[in-house]
Amino acid sequence: MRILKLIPILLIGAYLFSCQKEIDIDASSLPQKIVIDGKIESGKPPYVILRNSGFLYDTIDLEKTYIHNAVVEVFDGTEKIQLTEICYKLYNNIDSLLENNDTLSQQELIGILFTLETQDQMDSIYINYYGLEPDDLENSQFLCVYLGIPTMGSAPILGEEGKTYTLTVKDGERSVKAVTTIPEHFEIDSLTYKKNPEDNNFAEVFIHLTFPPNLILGHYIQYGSKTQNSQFYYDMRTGSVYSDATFEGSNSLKLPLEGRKYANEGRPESAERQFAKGDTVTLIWKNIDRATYEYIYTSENDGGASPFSSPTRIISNVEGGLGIWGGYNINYKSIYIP
Amino acid sequence: MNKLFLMTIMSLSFISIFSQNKYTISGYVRSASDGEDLYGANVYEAESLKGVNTNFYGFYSLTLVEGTYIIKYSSLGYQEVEKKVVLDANKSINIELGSKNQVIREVVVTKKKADHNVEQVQTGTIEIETKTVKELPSLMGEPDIIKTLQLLPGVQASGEGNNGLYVRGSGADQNLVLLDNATVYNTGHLLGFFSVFNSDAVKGIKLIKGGIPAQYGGRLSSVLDVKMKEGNMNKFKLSGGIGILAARLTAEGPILKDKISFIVSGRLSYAGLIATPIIRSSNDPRFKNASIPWFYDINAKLNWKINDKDRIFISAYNGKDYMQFLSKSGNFEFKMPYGNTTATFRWNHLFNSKLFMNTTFVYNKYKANFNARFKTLSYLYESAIENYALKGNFDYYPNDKHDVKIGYDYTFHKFTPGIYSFDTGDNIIESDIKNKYGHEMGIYIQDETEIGSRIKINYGIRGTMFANTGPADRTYYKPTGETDSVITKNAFESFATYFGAEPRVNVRVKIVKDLSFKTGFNLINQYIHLVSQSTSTMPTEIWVPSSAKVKPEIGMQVTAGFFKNWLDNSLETSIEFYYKKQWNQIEYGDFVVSDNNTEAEDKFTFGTGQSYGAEFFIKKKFGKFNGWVGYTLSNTTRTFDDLDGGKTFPAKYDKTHDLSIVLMYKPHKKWKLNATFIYGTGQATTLPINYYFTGTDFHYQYGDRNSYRMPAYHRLDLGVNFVIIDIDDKYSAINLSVYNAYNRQNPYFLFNETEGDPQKGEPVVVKAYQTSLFPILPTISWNFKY
Repeated sequence: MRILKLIPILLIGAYLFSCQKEIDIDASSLPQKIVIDGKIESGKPPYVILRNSGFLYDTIDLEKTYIHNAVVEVFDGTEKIQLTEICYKLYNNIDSLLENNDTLSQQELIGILFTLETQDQMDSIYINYYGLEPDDLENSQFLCVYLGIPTMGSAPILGEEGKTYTLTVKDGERSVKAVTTIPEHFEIDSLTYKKNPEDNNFAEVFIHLTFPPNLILGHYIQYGSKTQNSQFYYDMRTGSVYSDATFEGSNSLKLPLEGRKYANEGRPESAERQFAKGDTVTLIWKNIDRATYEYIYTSENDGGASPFSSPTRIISNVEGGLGIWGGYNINYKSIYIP
Repeated sequence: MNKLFLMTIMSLSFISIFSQNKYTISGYVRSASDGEDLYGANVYEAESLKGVNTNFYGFYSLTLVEGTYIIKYSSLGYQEVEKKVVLDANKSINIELGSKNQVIREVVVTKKKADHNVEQVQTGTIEIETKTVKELPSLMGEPDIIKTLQLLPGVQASGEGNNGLYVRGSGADQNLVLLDNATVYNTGHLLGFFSVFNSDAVKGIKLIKGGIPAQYGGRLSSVLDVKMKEGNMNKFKLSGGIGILAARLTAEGPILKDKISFIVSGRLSYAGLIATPIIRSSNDPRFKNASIPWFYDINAKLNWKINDKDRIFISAYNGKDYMQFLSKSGNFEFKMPYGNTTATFRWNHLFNSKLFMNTTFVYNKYKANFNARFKTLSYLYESAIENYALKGNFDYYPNDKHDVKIGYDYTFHKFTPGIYSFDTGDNIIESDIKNKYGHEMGIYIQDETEIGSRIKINYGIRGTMFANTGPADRTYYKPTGETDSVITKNAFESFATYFGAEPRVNVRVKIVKDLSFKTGFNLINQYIHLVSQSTSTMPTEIWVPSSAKVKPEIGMQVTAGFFKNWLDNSLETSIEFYYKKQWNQIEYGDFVVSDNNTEAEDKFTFGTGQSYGAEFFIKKKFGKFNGWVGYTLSNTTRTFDDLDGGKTFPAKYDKTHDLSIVLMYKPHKKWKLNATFIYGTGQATTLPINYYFTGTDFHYQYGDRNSYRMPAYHRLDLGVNFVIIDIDDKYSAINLSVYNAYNRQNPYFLFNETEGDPQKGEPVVVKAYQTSLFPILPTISWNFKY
């Protein structure tokens, strides 16, 4: 049904006449809520970003949305750990900042120290140990995250397939709670490519899957792609999440893996989302639970209120708050385009 | 005791002696120019004002005591005529009424104007002439029946250019739209900007907003009964029109004079065909593969008067819209053809001067496909509703006191509720959703009678039944998506069966000669449902049957109003109040996650609706200067346990104020100037109020459902109709329309745009914008008839 949202394009005739103007919205803010952006992956410790929601028509400063000094705990059924807040800031000249470190908060200082310590070991420490991805850091000028740090107390909980994790957050009088389970693996068979017949410098890539005959439905996937030079890209046009119920009745499946849109780079138009000769294409294949699927599905489907769609309220598994506490089981697979 | 017995016997014999001297005048009322039947025409005795209306086929039956009478015949748009009748036996009198310029011999044309507004028992009923539809200014010069109806009190549009009818706070799917007795499931072309009714092929338009009589059923809110022309019995005629959007051509005439006539009418929108290459050739890369949608429709009808007692009509309609899109890269494309097909076979039989029968067989289908291809993956989405129906109506006029209608209808429904198939290039995956079937039945009896000289009452009851049957499987899923259970039913085995009893009453009390009070009550069940996610009705939205999960919608309406005519019936006024309560109303749930196997009904949530309002109407019917003003003050709300925590919210078509002014001025016989003005409270919409981030993803948090009002909608349209020829049935006129004359930027929808990149540490500012569709749009069109 998602694809039906493209219908407004059909109104091209009417749009030729249409015009737009800015208007004032006369409304008052909804009550502020705690927003969770949390995940626990198999083999990795929990990772939680806490923010406040705010009034849309005020100027929005991302940095001011963080909730600091909250009590964030993760319980895996037997053990409970408290997470520690780390703030990371991307500075152009860290040395000069450290000289004037009076202006930095404790969390910011720890963040910078962590950055310095791990600049060369990003993959091994941030990714494998603290659950951060290089993308998370590259995307942010300023990032505050609650992490399970062994030096700050108990040993971190590491995500395990099939296990359920409860997150609780207390911020003054407010508190929220969420539960997630790391789903089992549903693996892909292989990646293949097919050269573009117009220009064999480019190729499309396909994901091949086989469904076992006794498959019990209930698998949810998010997938995206990257090349050696880019961050992971998730295709929002068709949606990045899938439920196996969509493909029920089929034994095998070939899904196209789209890349980021490249334009004006000497490509034929048919190759604008294809991969180039020499690329190493990596598929990120995330097994997610139902709640995470619903959260991503509804986030990607929210087209706002128009005559052709109604607003989609984003489904959250956070009781009393917004956002997502998701369990992930992630695989990567790569293919080289010769 | 014996005295009383004797008196009873005496009075009974008196009645019996008295009734022996009664005779019936019956026949057809037709248009003199083309022999078309006139339905709803008034036939009454001049002195006592005792009278009847012609039925759908122009037939009337009036029983009076033996004597000499002046019988008057009148109909909207025709001159009233009177005929002297010496009633000493049952008489069959067929009357032809002439339009304004014609002089009819044998009958006397009277000056008196009809007092239908005050006299008729039916409340909330509107009839409009196709002539008015054609003369009023219109969007792109395309005469539009639905948009003309939207100019009347209690009838609203939901937004700019929208063709949905929202009658007294009810949804677009709660109107029973009939074209020659066949249900029309989608009334809009080009996503609802234009109506499917070709004004050249339409003879009569009747909209019943309240006090729906027992002969109609199946929809809660209103009945729009559109009757196609029957074809000229006298001579061959060609008529048509050319506007900037579409062209129409109609041919009609006798195959066998006064026996068999035909009409064929076609309309084709060519704007898309012309504009597409122009837009594609523009330098804007967005429009490289642009394709402007287009549509056509064809109406055809055959009318055969076999003899004085039997008559057959065969009519058909087919209309289709084509829309497509191809992305610049060619990797993505979709096509969306959709349209209605209807076919009706009718047999009229006159048993005697008091009993008239009509039997109708109807086939109709509405189908919308959506084919999309994304590289090697193709989707096919198919939704349709198909009906086979048999209807029988008997009009029985036992005496001068009663007008009885008895009838039955049976409809077999086949629903194709959004079935996907998904072709991966290697194999085809089909969704588990299968066709659904329903059997709908109704029987009714209604009577219209007078009690004393002041009170007229139309009362009746309709019994209904609906069964949702196989052959079908219904799969129920666990929340995880796993199959929970599958229930299989064979044909005629039902998943759910519902029964309904629907009382209908309308009462008119004549207070003084020009003033009446009317009140009405109806209870109706609706067994098939169309649930819109959006404010405009999209072609791909699906009809679903009542089922084990979806209970029949039930609607109750109470109306009351005063109707007063002034200045010898040339000025009509009315004030009507209504209150409606609707149960088992349907909306999509707030959180909709679906896959190809999700049944629409699993996305629904159920609640109640309520609407009340007052409609004020003043209409000047005659003279150089005429027109009307309608104003509605209303409130429409809905309450659903699962939406906004059970809080009552405004319906999306809730409009507090709705004003329409229609003015027509004819300074000269060749010129007619028209102006329409509408004002309506802004549409209720759900707006994002708060924001939040997860990662760097920006999300909206919405306010309560429909809690925000868009700016008010108002618009002035102007039109000039210049008649080149209007002699002896030859007609040619140029119509100049200016849509949105003062270029009001009316809100079509609101959207937000963000400035500033949070990833770069920049502050984010959200600005709200309003999109408006049509600026001032002058158009010219030409209508002719030869």
